[in-house]
Amino acid sequence: MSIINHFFDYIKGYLKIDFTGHDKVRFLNLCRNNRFNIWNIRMSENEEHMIFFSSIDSFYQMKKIRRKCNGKLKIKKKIGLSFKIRKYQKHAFFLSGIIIFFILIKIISLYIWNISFDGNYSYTDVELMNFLNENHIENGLKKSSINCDELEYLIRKQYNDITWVSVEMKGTRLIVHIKENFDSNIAKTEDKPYNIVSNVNGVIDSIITRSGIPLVKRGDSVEKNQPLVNGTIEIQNDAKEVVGYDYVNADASIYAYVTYDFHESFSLNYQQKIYTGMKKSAIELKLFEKSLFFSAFEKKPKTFDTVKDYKPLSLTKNFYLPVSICHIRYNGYKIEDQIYDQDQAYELANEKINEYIHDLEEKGIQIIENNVTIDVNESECIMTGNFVVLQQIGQIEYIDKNE
Amino acid sequence: MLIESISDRLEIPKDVSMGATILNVTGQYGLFIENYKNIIEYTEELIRIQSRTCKICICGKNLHIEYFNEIGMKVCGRIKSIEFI
Repeated sequence: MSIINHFFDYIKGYLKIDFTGHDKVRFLNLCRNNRFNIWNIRMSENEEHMIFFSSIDSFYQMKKIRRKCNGKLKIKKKIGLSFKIRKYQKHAFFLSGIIIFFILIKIISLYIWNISFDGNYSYTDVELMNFLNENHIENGLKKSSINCDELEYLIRKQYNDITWVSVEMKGTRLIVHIKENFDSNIAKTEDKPYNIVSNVNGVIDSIITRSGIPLVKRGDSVEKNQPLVNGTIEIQNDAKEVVGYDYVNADASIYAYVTYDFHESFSLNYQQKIYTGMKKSAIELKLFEKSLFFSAFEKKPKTFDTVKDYKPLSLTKNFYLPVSICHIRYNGYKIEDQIYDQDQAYELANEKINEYIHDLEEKGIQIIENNVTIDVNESECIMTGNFVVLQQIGQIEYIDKNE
Repeated sequence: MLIESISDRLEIPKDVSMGATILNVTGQYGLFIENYKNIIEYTEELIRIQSRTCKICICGKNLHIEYFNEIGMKVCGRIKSIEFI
């Protein structure tokens, strides 16, 4: 009995049979004469039972000879694939459900269902997502059609101050890892020598040059696009004649006083939202980027705020599904005309100025002077003046060696 | 005896000319028998087989028939002796 025979027996199915009776030897001889397929015949210790294996066909045929031998045949075990199939036939729907589930999981895993960003500070997720959408990278895109290297190049090209990008595909997620440049405004995108030029109008406070030739000194007034550090170094001979040029990547920390004009105004008449307390909510199921509403409110207020809270469903940390549940809240309000009094107007104006200062400070800019005045007249509040700030300046300008 | 002498002279194998049983023994643990007629007795210690010319007794321990059909049968177990009666 070879392994192949065993394999085919297993596919067809076979039986472990217990024969009890007096004429065991006669039974065996009859089996042989009738060419029944039986094997592995073992006698029990007390010789009451004879256990053997038989094919299904042979078992049904040997029922005839059983009577001649005055014995009993009992199936002890059913072995083989055909029996297993029969056993699980009752659970066909359950099994097919499991199979369909795995097929669906496999199909879903071929697409991207979640895009996330990591390491971004000055660029918001929405801004970066819009950029990706413009480049046709969005949820539901086939993973095989995404070229990570090309995407990294596109992001680096678009955002100069993103110094490092890594696009990673994990499960059904596309994760964009970003490192932004905080230390300097200078960020290069091409592998070419460059000069540093001014990106603003201002007065130089300090310049520390690490590479290249400085063209300005402390106290100099500079204008936008004025060269600050030259990356082209002249090579002179003993007679001080220029015999050639050496090109370097200009590198320097340049700080300058820069004046930012500030002019803003707002009307003293304003419309205030007064929430009526009318709150309604709805559940939205988003499947394959298509929305299905489960419940919607009946009496819609005229004006309302909508707050949507999306929760994408995921099997594991990195295996997102194309299904998300959104809890939508509607807060009804009515609008009333109001007028700011003088104190309120000053307070609001100061808030706006502080907000502007906060934005500048977040960018690492130091405020030296605040020359903004607030003027409140009958109809509006005007903020006008300027800020003198100390900030790092400079941007790269690639050198064209042919010039 | 005549058939035996003729077959000897013609060098015809005995299993063909006289239906002699062929026993193929693998150490103590396996025995393949061809040209047998039927089984006379079968226990764990003894298997008696009827061949055309004689009876064959196989004694041993834990004897069992691995498979058997009209051509031959294979006996496995610890074989102590094979006797021709």
